Formats: sequence, C-alpha cells, structure tokens
Amino acid sequence: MPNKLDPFVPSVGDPWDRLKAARLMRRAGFGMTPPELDLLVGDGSQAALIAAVDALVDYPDTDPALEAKITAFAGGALANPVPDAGIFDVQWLYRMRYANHPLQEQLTFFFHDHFATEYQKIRGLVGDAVGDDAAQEAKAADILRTQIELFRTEGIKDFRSLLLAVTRNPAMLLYLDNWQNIAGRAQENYARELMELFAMGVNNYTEDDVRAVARAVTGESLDDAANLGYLYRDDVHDRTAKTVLGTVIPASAVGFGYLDTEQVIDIILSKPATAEFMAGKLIAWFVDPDPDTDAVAELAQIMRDENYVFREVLRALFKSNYFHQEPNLFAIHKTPVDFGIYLVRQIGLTDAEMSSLGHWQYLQNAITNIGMTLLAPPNVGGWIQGPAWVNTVSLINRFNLMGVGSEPSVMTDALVDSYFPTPLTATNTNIIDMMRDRLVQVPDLRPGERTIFDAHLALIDTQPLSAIGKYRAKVRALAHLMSALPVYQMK
Amino acid sequence: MGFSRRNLLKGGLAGLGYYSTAPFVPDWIVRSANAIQDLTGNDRILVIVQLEGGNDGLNTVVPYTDPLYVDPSPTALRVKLQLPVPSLHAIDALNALNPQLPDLASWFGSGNLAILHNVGYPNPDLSHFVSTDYWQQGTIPSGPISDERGWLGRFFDLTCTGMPNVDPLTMAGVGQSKIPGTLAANTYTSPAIEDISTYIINGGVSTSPTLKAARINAIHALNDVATFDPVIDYIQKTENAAEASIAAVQSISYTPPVTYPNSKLGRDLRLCAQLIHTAGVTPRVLHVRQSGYDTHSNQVGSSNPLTGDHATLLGVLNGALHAFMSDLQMTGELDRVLIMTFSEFGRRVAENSSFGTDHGTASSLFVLGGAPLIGGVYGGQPDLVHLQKGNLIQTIDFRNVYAEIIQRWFGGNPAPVLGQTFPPIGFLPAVVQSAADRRWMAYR
Repeated sequence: MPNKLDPFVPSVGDPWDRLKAARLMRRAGFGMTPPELDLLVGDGSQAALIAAVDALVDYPDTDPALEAKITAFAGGALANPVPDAGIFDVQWLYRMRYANHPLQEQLTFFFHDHFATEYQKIRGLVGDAVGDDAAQEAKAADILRTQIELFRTEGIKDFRSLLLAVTRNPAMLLYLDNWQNIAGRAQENYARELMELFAMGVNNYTEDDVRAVARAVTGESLDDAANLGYLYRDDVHDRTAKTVLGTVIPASAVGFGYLDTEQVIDIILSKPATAEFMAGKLIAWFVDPDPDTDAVAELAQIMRDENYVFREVLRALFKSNYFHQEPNLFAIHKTPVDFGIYLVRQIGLTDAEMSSLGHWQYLQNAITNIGMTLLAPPNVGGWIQGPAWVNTVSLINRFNLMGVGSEPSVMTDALVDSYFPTPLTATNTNIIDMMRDRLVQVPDLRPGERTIFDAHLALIDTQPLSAIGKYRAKVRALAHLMSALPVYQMK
Repeated sequence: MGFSRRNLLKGGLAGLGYYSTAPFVPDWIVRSANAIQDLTGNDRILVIVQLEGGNDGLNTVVPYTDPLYVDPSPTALRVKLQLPVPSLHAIDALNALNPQLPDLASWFGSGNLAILHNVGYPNPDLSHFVSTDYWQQGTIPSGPISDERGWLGRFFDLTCTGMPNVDPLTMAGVGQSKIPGTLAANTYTSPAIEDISTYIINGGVSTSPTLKAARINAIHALNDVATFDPVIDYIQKTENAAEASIAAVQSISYTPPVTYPNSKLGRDLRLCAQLIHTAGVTPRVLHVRQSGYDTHSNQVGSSNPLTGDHATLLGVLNGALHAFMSDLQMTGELDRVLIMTFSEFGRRVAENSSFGTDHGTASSLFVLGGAPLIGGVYGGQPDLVHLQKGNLIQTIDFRNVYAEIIQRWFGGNPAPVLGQTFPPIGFLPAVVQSAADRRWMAYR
C-alpha cells in the first residue's frame, strides 16, 4: 500500500495545475495571483512541482530586499526599532503582503499561534526601571519582536534548538512567569504548557511530571528589570533529583543547573508522542484540520528521521500525495489575518494604493474586528481554529472589509483596468470568470452563485454609466460579492 | 491539548468537499426577526458569566475562620496570599467575600446571591482547555454521554428542534467575536455580538442606493444557495443568523437607568440589559466572558495582598454585576433573570513562588437573581485538611448545577441533556407546573 507522504506524481488525470498550486500558496503563503501561479505550475511536471516546493522551503534567514522595502515605507513609519506593539503588528502584516518567501511568514504565524504569547501581560511587567511610558512601550514591543524574529529565522530549523530558545526567550519567561520560578515553591505555569501545548499534548504526561519539570526549570530567568535579558540563576535552581516522564534526572552540581533544562527537552523529544503531536499540528495548519491518523504517523516518522528539522518535514509534506491528492481544495478556515492579506494580495494592492501608514492601520483594525490581533492571542492556547472563525461578527466584518477594499479610492481605475487585456470587450461571463480565477480560485462556481452574479451585472448594465464605467463597477461589485461566498472563507 | 481540540466540531464537519454530490439541504433558515418562540414555555433568561483562566475560589469566598486559612506561620498554605480578615466582607460565621466584592455581599444580604462551594467534577483535569470543554459541554470522560455540543446547545436541540420562527437572538454570545462553546448546537447558530455600531452589512460606500441594496441582497442570496457540504452549510447558516439578527440589534434603543462601569464586562452586561429590554427581542440565554483569572503570578501584589491582578478582576466583576443587578431590579426584570458564573477550575490551595497559585480543581461559583432564587451558601465549606495532591475535593458536581437550572429555571428535562438524572442542590424552588410548563412537556 502506498504511503500518504510519498511524493505526488502528477498525471494527465490528476495534474500539477493552477488549482493545486493555488491551494498550496493559500496555505503555505497568503495567496497568489493567476500570473504568479502560472509560473509555479510551469509545464505541470513533477519536476516543476519539486522546484516550486524547494523554492518555498529553502528560504534564507533574512531577505535584505524586503527589509529595505519595509524600512523605506512611508518615510520609515514601519522601520525598526518600532515604537510600540501596534506598529510592530502593522510591520508584520506589511511583511506578509510583500514576502518573497511567503512560507517564512506563514510558518512564523504558525509558531506565534503555537507558542502563543500576549503582549498585554508583558507590557504590564515592563516598569519604571526601563524609563518613561514611551520607553516601556518600545521595550515591550521589542521583547515581542525578538520572539517573533526567533520564529522567523529558526522556526524552519531544528525543533530542539527552537524549544530551548523559546524556553530562554524573555517574552516567554515573562509571559509564563518562569523568571519567578524558584526552588521551594516551584511555579508550574511554563512547565505545564511546555508539555501540554508546546510539545506533547494532553494525556502524554502526568501531574507529577508537571511538578518535576517545574522544579527542573527553576533558575531560567532574567537579568534585571531595566534590561530584561535572559539570565540563568543557578542559585535559585532546585538541585534535587527529578523523575521526568520515567527518566531520572540526577541531582545537579553547582553551576550546572541549566543542564536540567536541556535534559528535560531531550526527554520530551525522545517520546513518540512529541513527534506525533507536532506532526498533527503542522498537518492541521497546512493540510487538514482533521488529520489522517496514518499521515500523522508517517510525518512523525519523517520528523524523527530528520532530527526534527522542520524544513525537511515541510518539504516532504508539500510534495506529498496527502497534500495534493486530497480532492477538497478548501479544507481549512482562513484566519482573519489570512483573509486580510489574501484580499490585499489577490486584488493586487501595492504601495501605490496603500501608500500611507493609515491604510495599513485600517487593514490592521479590520482584521481585529474580524477577530484576530497579532500579539494578542486569547490565551496561551493560541487562537481557536476551524469553524470557530465563523460567527456573525466575523462574517459581517469580512464582507465589510472587502466592501471598502473594492471602493474606487482603493481599487483604482488603473488597477481594475489592468485585470483584463481589453476591458471594453469583456462580456459579463468573461468578468465573472476572471474575478473567480483571481479571487476564489475554484474550478467553477455553483450554478446558483453564477445566477446571482449574472443578475447583479445585468443590473449594473441598466445604470447610466459609460462602457468603461460599467466594466469597473462590475469588477468592484464582484470583488465585494465574491468575498461573501462561503468558499472564500476557506483556504 | 491535542490539535483536534481546537476544532469546535471536529469530525462532524469533516469536509465532503465543495463539489461533493451527496445532498445536504439547509434545514434552518430564519427570515423573521420579529418572531418569538419561547425556549421552554416561560420567559426566563439565563446570563452566564465565564471567568476565564481558573478563578481562585478560596480568595473569592474566604473561609475566614478556618485555622488553616488564617494560619500565621511562614509554612502556611497561604502566606503572601492570605487576605487580612479585617478587609473582608463577612457574610456568615464561616464565609467572607473578597475585599473587592462589597456589593455582592449586599446582594447576599438581601437574599439575591447563592454561593456554591467546591463545585467541580470527579477526576479533575488541570488543563485549561480540557476542563473548559467539560464545563461547556456538560460532560466528563467517565460520564454517561460524550457530545461536543454545549450543554445549553444540546438543551436547545432537544427542546426546540422543529419549532417554527425561533427568535434569532434566543441564545447569543455578547461582547465576543466567538460563539461560546456552551451554546454550540446542531439546530441553532448563536449570534456573536460585539459592537452594535458595526453590526451591519454595508453594500459599498460610494455605490448608488439601488446598487447598495442589490449588493446586500446578493450577499444574502449567495448564502442561501443549497449546498452539499456541511462546512459550507455552517458558514451559510451563520450568515443567515447575521442577517436575521442585524435588524433586531440595530433596533436597540434602551438606555439603562444606572451607569455601568466602563470595563469590558460592564459594557458587555450593559449590552445584555439592552437586549433584554428591546421590543421584539426575546433572548433566553446570554453569555459574557471576563478573562485573566489564570493568576500564576501577581495574584496579589508583592507588598500588599489587597492589590494585584485578582483584586482588579474581582473589582471589575463586582462593579459590573452590581450595575446589571440594579438595572434589572429598577426595571422590574430581575425576577426573570438568573446569572451564573463559572470557571474551568479553581486554583491550588498552597501558593507558589510568584505571589500566585497554579491550576487547581474545585472552586466556588455565584448564582444571582431575584425572588425565585434561594440565597445562601451550598456545598459545605472547602475542606483544607483533606486535599488531593494539594487540591480541593469537589462536593458539588457541576452537572447538578446545570440540571437544577434546566429543571427548575427553564422547566425543562435535564436527563436527556446530561445523560442521567442529577438531584437538585436547592438554590431554586421546585417547579410548580404552569400551563406553559405543560406546553413544554409536550415536546419531551
């Protein structure tokens, strides 16, 4: 029996085509326009697919061209160091829009959800030792920015290093209180979530393990209230022996308490449950919210074989039968961030249309109204995914965002005219199919949907508008209406 | 947490795909915002206040005469977290409310507050997410049923399925852009209402009035297209719920006679009062949240136990509940409203190193209301001597609380909702069957 994670071999009946490429880029990135997709599809061969996936996962730590673009935008309004968390959020959205390596931002987004950390709590812990209010805000934002940067550069490398780095990351030390975890009355906040949320999942450890890990990571702390940098405090470490997940960590020698932390992470990574948990999380984010058990087991095996190097894990996943043979092109609910960035990318908005900081803050606020604010997850569990994104508030605000995005002041005449080679000869059917390919990327609309679009375009035909005016009104109306298609909420 | 716990309706919504061919016809499309259909045959309302993160019952309702609580030794269960007795609001010989709860102490004095101690469930789980699921679903792993709907969603399904013209605001999440798990149902989609002013679909900004109206109609029509896919169907039903509830929400004009505190919870309970007082709107279950109770650190201030995060949270809770209760009382609505708080668990009895407490088990909850409520303290005192791994042992199963509310508040039958019968606790009087109750019984 073939394995689900075996490489997908395109055939005449099941080709590597624009629809499959669009699905890959909705999930591994934030969407792509039809001309961009055509480049990815190439000749439709397996070699073209492999080249596309390799280009996706083999990204460099940093992209100087993107950094320069960010720094130059709106007179440096988004440049580092950022003055506060709000500007940092906008910078990140801008980065998602213009990323030349979109997987880097989607994976960073995944890890922000996985290692969920709330700005608000950290802001409350940054105090007068740092300086005045402005200095405190900048410091708190920088602490978060450093954590997100860690996900951006290290997320696709090995999970062991990442877990260790997150454990010692000031944002996490502050958020889950481990900076205050000392021998005597150990504090369980980080220890529990390390096992429950960050690495293993429930039912794979006991309450005694939680208490033992809490003691083992005593001493992982911060230097002082002004700097808020990482410092290991061996003097407050609980030196006594612990039993973690059945393995004894012997009493530690003075000066070597930090090795307990590394042993805890090695013990956790040695458990099959850990690879399965992370495989399941990656599959739920990128492939199927209800992961196939066999696929999870296979991906977990790949994860162990590759020493938890996620670049190789994702390379295998994005080339697999499991990813490309699934007939459902829209199995995953778009997050509000996916919705907002996808909208901007598919319409093709650039610095020409969204030229000011205010434009991006409008988008940021709209994404918040749809239900998601970066750096403000609801709790340490991250955002609840799936159908939970669908609710009355969310849908109303999604429709209204595209309502504004399709206004002539944003979706300009020049932009709309560029969609079709000869706008004045475009039939209503041409316009509907063009906008379907650009925004929805389904093989065809449901018959009932096409009827509704036809009727709306016929109504526009009765309006007192010039020929080009009618074309533009139709494109804008369809952009708005297509955002209200149920399938548009999916990716 | 497994990855699947994030899926509200995992499995059940496994996608058939956008182009599958098996028919799945929507059976729930509401078009009548003015239609009124009672949930169970009476006009009572339940307001649920979820305290997210795990509220410390011991420092909310303090056993101020328990020698183990007031133990002055440096090895006491609580040293930094011990609230000084003179600051507390004593309500009887054994219990005193937190210094930040003076108004709730008054409501207790007037018989409008019931305190339920040691509420939990057998074999407690100390994960926020797992324990929240149990409380919201009204199920536990060793229990008679397993069901991912919320306990009130299941009650709705069992009671109201097939009824015509269900009010689109029968159950609603208020102040949140998420449908509360407690209200998740198969045959009803609870609206989530956060901000009245933006709860409206725009048909474009610069479009003509004709095209605007046409766009709005087209948006609704796109979500009425028959679908074969349950995932798509769920989105369409939610759009239908938005469409059906927008007019009612936009018709809100009630100005309360009291000033609510300008806290998130205060604003949300004010919106609840507005919904209760809006003509043509008949909410039966409203759900609000207050987050921040995961007080591992700074539960009390490092130099003053009267400060810190828990004091702030309870101060907000006290102010918001007091305004809401006063509003309902002044407008004569209090007797048909019941308010229940809940939290996924309590906290560890012994404090930790960071002026806080780690996850625990049983905790105290509040039920507030008007004349029907029998105020008092239920469940016995927290037993600080016999702990289980440092945690309190539950004496009231939360399903007993739910059963009592379904049976004695709504006049419904809790057994099919909870999978078995649970004896009443007694904070509500036994139901005297009215004609309306008998009407409900016909649906059983």
